[in-house]
Amino acid sequence: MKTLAHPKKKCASLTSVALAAALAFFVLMSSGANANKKESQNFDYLTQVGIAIRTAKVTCLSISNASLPIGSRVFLVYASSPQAVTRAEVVRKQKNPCTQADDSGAPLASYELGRTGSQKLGSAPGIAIYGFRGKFAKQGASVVADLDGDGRLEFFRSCTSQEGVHFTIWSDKPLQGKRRWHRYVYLGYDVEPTCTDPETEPDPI
Amino acid sequence: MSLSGPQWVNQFPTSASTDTLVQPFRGNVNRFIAALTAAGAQVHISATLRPPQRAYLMHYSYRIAHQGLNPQSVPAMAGVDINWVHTNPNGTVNLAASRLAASQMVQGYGIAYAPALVSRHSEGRAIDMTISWTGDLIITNGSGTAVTINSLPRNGSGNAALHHVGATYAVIKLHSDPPHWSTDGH
Repeated sequence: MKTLAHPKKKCASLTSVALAAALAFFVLMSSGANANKKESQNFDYLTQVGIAIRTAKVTCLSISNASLPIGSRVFLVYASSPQAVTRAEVVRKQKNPCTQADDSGAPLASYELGRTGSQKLGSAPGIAIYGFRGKFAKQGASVVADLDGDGRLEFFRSCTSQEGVHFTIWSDKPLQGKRRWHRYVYLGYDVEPTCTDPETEPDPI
Repeated sequence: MSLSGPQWVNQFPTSASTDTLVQPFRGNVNRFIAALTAAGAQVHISATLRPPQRAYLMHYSYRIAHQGLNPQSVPAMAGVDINWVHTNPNGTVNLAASRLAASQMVQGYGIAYAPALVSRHSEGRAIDMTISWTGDLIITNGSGTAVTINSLPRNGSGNAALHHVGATYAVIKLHSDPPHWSTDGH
């Protein structure tokens, strides 16, 4: 499994002169890792996972969380093969919903997303992860991460139904493990279906 | 013939009127929606007929732009006077310009996934609508019998009892697509 470097993360070469600084850095990273583990263990799929959709003018985040701070970072996982992950930030809250034809009843909030560096945001919809400070890794063509800190890797998938896309997150193995999260995005045009039943089943009420 | 490009995107728009559906599906849908409305449900229609011409333009612009289709290979469609092949001043095929024009169409349509050429929508035999209600829904089915729906969720996408009521009007739910109902569930 190959660990993906976080964007903007720079490698620093150590010299003997900087040994003390390196030690302080190590302590900082260790405490940060502990904090991250704690945060990940409290991971809530409902309020920390959404969908980023490219509309005519902006990239719009649709998520069941009305209190994302402006400037907060989100990861965008593009679930089509080969999968990729990039970072974005919340620019502003939006009044209008990102998507149409959603009658799920979920109280979804909408935010405009902007890029954080030179990486462009993709034109395809992506799975947006908020409040995760762990690491993403690559397993073959798949992006994986232990989102909830339970020691099991989460996998990301997307498939097309008749006129929409089903996004899912699975623990252990896609389609065979436990489905942790599911979201449908209406496209507004017809496509060739690729979904299997486990990917389209609604969440239990 | 008019060259391909973004000026085509606003032609042949998707309809949100049941008037564009074919019979007898049109009448069945109208009766079902009337029963829903009479029962106090909220109904919002997002799409009915997607003209075959629109599906053709979306399908082939995507294939040229993203799947390497030679624009000279695109079959003609009656009623769509489009020229997919852009040429240089000397008359030779300008493949780059042809693909660029197709890409501009793809962008204008907002296409992210390969569009299908034929569907129930392009046949006028499908409708996308969001349906919601509060409390119990007491609705008359296609046989004229009142049916009380007190199960969850209170929306059209996931309520199995409402799907059964829809079927009595020959309006069949496609389970994989929350807003989609059609003549046969496809």
